[in-house]
Amino acid sequence: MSQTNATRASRTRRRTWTIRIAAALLFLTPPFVVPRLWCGRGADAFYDGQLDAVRPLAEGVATWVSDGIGQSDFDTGNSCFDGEWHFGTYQMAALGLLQVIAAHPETRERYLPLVEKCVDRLLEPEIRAFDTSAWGNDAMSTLDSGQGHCAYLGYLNIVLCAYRKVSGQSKYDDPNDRITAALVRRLGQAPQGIIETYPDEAYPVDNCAAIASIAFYDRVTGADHSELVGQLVRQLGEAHTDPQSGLLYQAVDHLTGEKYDKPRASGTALGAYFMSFGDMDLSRRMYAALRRSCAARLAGFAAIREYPPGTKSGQGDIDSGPVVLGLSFSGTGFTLATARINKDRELYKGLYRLGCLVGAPINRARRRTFVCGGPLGNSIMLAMLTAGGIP
Amino acid sequence: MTTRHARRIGIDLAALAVLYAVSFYIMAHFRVMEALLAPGGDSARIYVAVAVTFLLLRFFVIFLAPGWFLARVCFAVLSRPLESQTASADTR
Repeated sequence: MSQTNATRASRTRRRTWTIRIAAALLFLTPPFVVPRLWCGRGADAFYDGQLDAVRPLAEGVATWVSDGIGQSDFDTGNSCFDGEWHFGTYQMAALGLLQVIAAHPETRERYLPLVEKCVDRLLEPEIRAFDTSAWGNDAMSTLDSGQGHCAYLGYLNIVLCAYRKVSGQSKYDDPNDRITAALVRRLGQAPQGIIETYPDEAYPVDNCAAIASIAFYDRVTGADHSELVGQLVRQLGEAHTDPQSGLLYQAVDHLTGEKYDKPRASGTALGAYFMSFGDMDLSRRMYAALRRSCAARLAGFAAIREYPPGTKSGQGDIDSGPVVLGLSFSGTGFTLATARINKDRELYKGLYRLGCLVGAPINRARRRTFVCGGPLGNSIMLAMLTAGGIP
Repeated sequence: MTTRHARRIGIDLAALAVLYAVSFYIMAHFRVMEALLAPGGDSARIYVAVAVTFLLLRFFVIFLAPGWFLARVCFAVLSRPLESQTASADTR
């Protein structure tokens, strides 16, 4: 009898352990399957540029643009950052919508008026108040001067060139011509091939936008600044790039070329996107450096480290967003663009999954919105996810 | 699985779903993420705390909750015959 009881107790113990192991397996398996499926929904459709995937996000951004965004819509805690984000929202929205139009000409009627609304806003003095405040003068009224205003003028000029290319219209030709002439003159006189964003502050990433906009302008209008662009691209790729990691230095002295910050992924990733409009070869090299030095992958997710291996990681700033475990918010988001441009489906999908995990997209009323993104995040996601659309 | 087990799992699932939906609404309505994305700004700490809490909840829902509920269902379903088996053996 006692032997029977012992056998039964042993069987019960075995069964209890079997249940525990089964439950443990059921607990541990989903984290390797569910997140990559959940967050990866729509990644292939975005990569392939399918309108069904792109349109809801474009509609979400279109709603922000139609409703109008003011500087008070941003609350970073710093008025200069608020101004930059205000400007960046319209800049990225315009680029994203132009890329959608270029890839799907049937959307032109719907989105081109919104692009024009963005460009009109970008040209208003109010939106460049952050730049005016830093310089003490207005960027558009002082185009004949030697002051940099690099970020405002360079970022805006990329949009004006893209508008000219995609729309075929001449509505903004005048500011496009004048800004390009100013950038050509200023960059041509710059001893290090770099001009200032703000007084005594120069960032190679902002110069990527300015230089790429000159090359883009040439492609659109038939003008020829190839000698200057070639020289500036060489300087960017050599003097302002870390030879080991291949990443752009984040900040340099525009007169001496001295490095004020480390090579970083956030600047390199955005610079590579802008450079894709101007010099594809340098853009590809920057992307290859990001992939080689900064890409991290786990369970179908991918992220970009802010600093290359061997460099002490910081806590992050307005450029990178918070750096958590060495990973860069902005670097990860911006690399989506060049992953698509360079036809790297695997990395694109990994980055997309992380973007969805952190951005938390929801679909509502035929619109897709990243709830964590706000107006700037959604505009950036549209521009990055649809990058490469403008030939 | 007993009705009691099913009800408890159901209530937990519903509570998590409601909490998740409410947190989505808060994030969308108050745009607290911007404070987290601008670490150089003088952001209100409460915003940063809310954004981090939301992200932790989202990570839990996507990474851990599916396995957690599956494991609980597994326990509830497979433990039931074991309990009845033990009970019948005790009666004998």
